[in-house]
Amino acid sequence: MKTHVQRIMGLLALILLVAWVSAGVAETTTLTILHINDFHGRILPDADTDPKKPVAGAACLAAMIKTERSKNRSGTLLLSAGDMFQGTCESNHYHGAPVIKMMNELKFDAMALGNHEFDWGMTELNRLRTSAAFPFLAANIVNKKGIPLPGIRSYRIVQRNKVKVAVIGIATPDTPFTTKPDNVKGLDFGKPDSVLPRLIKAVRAQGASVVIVLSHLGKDDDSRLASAVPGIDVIVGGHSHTEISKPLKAEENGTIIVQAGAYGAYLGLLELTVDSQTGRVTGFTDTSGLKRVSAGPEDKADRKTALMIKPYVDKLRPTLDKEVGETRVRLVKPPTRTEETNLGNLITDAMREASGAEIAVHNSGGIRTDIPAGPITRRQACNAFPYDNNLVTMSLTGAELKTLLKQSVNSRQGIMQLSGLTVTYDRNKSEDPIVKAAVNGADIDDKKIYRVVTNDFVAAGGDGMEVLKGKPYETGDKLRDAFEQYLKKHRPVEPKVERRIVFVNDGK
Amino acid sequence: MESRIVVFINGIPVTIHRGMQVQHALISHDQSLYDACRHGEMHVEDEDGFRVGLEGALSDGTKLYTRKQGRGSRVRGPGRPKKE
Repeated sequence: MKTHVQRIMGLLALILLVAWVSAGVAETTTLTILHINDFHGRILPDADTDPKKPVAGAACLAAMIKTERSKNRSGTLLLSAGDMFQGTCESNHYHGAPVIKMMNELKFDAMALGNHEFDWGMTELNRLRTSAAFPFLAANIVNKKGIPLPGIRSYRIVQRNKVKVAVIGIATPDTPFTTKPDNVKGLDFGKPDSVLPRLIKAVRAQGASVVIVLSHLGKDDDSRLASAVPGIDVIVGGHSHTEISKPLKAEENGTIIVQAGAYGAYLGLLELTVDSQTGRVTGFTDTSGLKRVSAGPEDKADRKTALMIKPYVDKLRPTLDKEVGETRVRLVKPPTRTEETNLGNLITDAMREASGAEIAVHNSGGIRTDIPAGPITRRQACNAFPYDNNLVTMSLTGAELKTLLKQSVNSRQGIMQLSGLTVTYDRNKSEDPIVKAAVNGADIDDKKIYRVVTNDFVAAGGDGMEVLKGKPYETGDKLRDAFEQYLKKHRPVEPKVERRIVFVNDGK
Repeated sequence: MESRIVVFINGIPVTIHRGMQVQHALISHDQSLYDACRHGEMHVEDEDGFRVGLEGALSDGTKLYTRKQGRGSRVRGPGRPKKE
């Protein structure tokens, strides 16, 4: 009797197990999302941060992408969250051409438009777009008539492992604050949470079961978006250069958020598990996260990509030795940062000319080397101004200008070099050291508004310029570009120390 | 859209121009922190403990923390962004 009951119980257990397996454990497939962001033209390995452990570079990144794709060939998407081209001599010189070539070789599926994609103007952006074998995406940029940018798509739908995946691109509404106004003139950058619900509905109606937002908003805004807009499975992000070492999952809507740092130092890997029946995302694997792109001699490099990049680099080397101007006198950096120098005068004159501002201010500490008399090469210009600064132009009252001049003479990091503005200081008067200050010969009027150009470092209050903190400004050219343009136009230059900054009673 | 945003460095509010980066917020707050980060003595993390680059973009309300290199850095598993 007991054996009979045991048999019946065993049979029941087996039936229940089979029922549980068939009903509860659905078949899944894996989608692999490989992603990078904010590559900023880093086609060569970076050994500056740690010479013993170089990272990034097109060849090693390509090798890693090809290896990862080979593990799930029919189920992999390769995405970029924008800001791919601007940022290194090697890429800037060719306006991003080697980066596009690398991306085409690696068969990127889509790229979101980053704010720096606008840095070279619309003509260059269109050239990049038409040379790309993948779409540039931005669903929230339209012109004043509400028409999207030519050739820029809102989304792309692809099929991987029989799963339809929609990728929707989103640009940052902050773009007009980060590039020259002319570059984005007439464009509206819409709020992402306003445009996305309609698009998500549209792509779902076309059969997309997985929705990815390819975002150049930055991690905090991605998190807000994930909470505000339901229906997004994954946000592949960029802009904030955040190393999201393990994917985040938003509490409200379950959206997965990833971002891969910057400069190609990491490849983002997100392995999504997807229900084969419904096509819906059920989770991600523990192996998802960031993979460091090491670029040492023992690390794997993709030969084809390396050979593709080489001509650009080889051709560029001589251009660093190319003459960009000539000087009749030695150009002197501020040796103790407490004096006016001819190189300080030259760079500030160049800043004024490039921006049209009536006054230019540049920190002494941002001028790093002398340039000897004779031809000036691009390399020498880069060495003198090694920081990748932008010009920024702002409005200051005369009273604020005087405060700036006081903060300049009291700064522990050194005084500001000036153009359009002269000042006489008395160091014995610590409370009010300005004896005389004039703009183009006329005394500063406390209430008058002056247009002042400086660099983004000083605009942030760098080197003690507290008065500039939080001031609204417009972004202009790169400082080095302004310098080169000036050298070319005024060749040969012969700047002098001309008593723009004078000290009385300083014991000398 | 407001042209200025407020971010927090080690809990202290810093008002900066919209479009400025992590490095600018550090400079505005305390230039010595920026110098330490640039020389690799420190790094910056966000409120979830993820590292951010000096040229990373900022949003209104972003919270950042400076950490000495090799210390204080947290390795995070899957987490949740905080509710706004």
